[in-house]
Amino acid sequence: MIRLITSRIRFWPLVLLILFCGASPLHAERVALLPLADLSQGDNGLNLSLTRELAEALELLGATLVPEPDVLSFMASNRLRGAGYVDSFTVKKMGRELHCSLVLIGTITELGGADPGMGLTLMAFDAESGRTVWAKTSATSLGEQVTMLGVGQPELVDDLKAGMFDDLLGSLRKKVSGRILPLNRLYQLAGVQVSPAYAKGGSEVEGVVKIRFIDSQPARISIETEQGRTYLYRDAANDTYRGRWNAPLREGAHSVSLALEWGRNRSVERIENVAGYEVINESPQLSLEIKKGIQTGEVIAFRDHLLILPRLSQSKPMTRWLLEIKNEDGEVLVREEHEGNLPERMVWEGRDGSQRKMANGTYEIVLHAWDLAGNHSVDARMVALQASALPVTVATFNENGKTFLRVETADEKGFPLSSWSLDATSLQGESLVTVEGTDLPVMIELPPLNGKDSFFYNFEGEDFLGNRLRMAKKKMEVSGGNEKPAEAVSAKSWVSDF
Amino acid sequence: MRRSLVKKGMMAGMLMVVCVGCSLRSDLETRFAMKAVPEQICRVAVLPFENRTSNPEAGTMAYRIFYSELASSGALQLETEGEMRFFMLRNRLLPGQLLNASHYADLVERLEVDAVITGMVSEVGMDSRKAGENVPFVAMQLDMYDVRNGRRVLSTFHRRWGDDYRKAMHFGMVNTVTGVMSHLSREVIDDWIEKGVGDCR
Repeated sequence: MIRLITSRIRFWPLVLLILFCGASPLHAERVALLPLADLSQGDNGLNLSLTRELAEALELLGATLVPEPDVLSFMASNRLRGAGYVDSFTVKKMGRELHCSLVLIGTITELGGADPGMGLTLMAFDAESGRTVWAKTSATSLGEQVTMLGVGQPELVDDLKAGMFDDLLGSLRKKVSGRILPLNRLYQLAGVQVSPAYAKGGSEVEGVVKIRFIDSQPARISIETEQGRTYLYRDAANDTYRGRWNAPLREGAHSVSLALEWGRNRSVERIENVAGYEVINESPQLSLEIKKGIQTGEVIAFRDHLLILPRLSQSKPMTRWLLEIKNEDGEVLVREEHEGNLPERMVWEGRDGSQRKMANGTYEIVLHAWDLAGNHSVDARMVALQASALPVTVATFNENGKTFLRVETADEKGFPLSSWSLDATSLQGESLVTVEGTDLPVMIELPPLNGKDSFFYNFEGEDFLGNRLRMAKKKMEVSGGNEKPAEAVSAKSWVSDF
Repeated sequence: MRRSLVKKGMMAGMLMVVCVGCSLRSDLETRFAMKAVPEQICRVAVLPFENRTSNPEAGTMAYRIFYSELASSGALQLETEGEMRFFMLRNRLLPGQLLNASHYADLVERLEVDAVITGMVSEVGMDSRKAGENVPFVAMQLDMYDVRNGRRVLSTFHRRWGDDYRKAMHFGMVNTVTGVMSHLSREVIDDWIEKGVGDCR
């Protein structure tokens, strides 16, 4: 069983929700606003700053204006020296060349004065016929704007502009076509969800838009991405709009905009960056680091526990991971599968899925991980479990009238003892031989036993992992013939059986 | 008792002043020619106004305001100011200059208008003698000529002060020359409409 030590990395939500209310105008036929004549500056005066403020007010009402440089360029090329008036031929020409349906001119008749005030007259011309379609004069002063107890009373001439623009443009809106100054389109964008939030390049992404409208609805709703426009279909059951598109191949964050197509002429209103998703093509590049073991050749040996440290080349959120530990036959003995990010570290104590201690041997640790885009990465390490020292056999044999003691590892699989010591004593307690060594097997010549056919010996050994083997006061019968195992010592336990 | 009578007298006096102020007719005076048929006038041109005031912009100001009010009324079809400037330039005319038969012919042929409106601003300014306030005032003369025969159709003179529109205390008072011109123009146009102008057949 694996003990997981999870990280505290916060998981980014898969769903991006945006909540806001909006009132948005329709953009339709264009309006050319000529610079306002300013009689307070003389007969040829112009007031570009107030013209721009009026332009902003018009745009807030939903008008699409011909850009100011285009208007000025037209005036220059047509030698329109004076502002505040225009002839019908020029109006028609403006309509053709500037692609507008309405020409708006105006004169600031008054600005400042003893009782600071402002007067503005505006006229609108139909660009097709060149005729006047609307005109209005509005004037006020600070003295006229006296309010009860002075609450909200304007203090500067600038404070008068907003009210005056409202008065004039409100009247204009009533007179001209809805295609020029449309009614406000009211909507509430309750949420935009793009899933998955992380996708592979080219994979399918779904957008779900929850939006509510007051009065009219747009003819079509689409999601605009780098890939183009995806029209959404209405999901009546869930009161949402849905659409699917393929994620671009380019890695990185991609934003999504919403486009509302209003009216018969499909004028598009965009709501930029309403949601986003990320394309990840590269696999997580997972690697395994094993600690608390000793590298021997291609395997990492351990006797008690291992520390498994998953490493990612880049810190990315994962959707799930799987750890498997297999024996040499490929049989899966441990399987841990979890959703979410990888733990920072895992500890394996050499037990299987049922918490049973596993036998000494070689095992393969395999770790799989999948990122949020579904990219898969895997890494594996070979480890060797040796929870006890390998058993040794001690035997005697005679050769050329001499008696030898032969010590050797009983099991070929595993790591042999790296150090050992043996001392033999006669039954009366006399020391016969004391030997230390690092390698096995070994043959130790015993001194003449003077007709005695048995003796005691003590054996201690330790492998490089720290597993120790001890055989104390073992009685050994001296055999008369060839070598014969005197005793097979179990190495399964910390201390050999008595 | 005596104090009460004085109080009542003062109240009655104030009420009378307010009532008289509200009911005072302005100086609006429109005279129609005997043979004028205003119903036959549909499309008009407004010539740049003559300015007889010390304010150099008063003529243009009055012209644009009157033009916008006339356009706003919807009573008549209007020729644009730009066309009229070309007309003036073409005929080397200055504002206030009398038109002759060839001018009328030009207006008929080229601009296809039925009548021409001329204007003269005779007074524009701020009167500081009135109740210690700066009260704007405007006086204008407006004439309409039938360009098909050169005859005068109507003639209007109108003068207004900003405090003519006062309702109570300072409320309703018009403090801008533009405001007075706008009110004045609307009153003139309404008077014309009332008398048959704009009822185009």
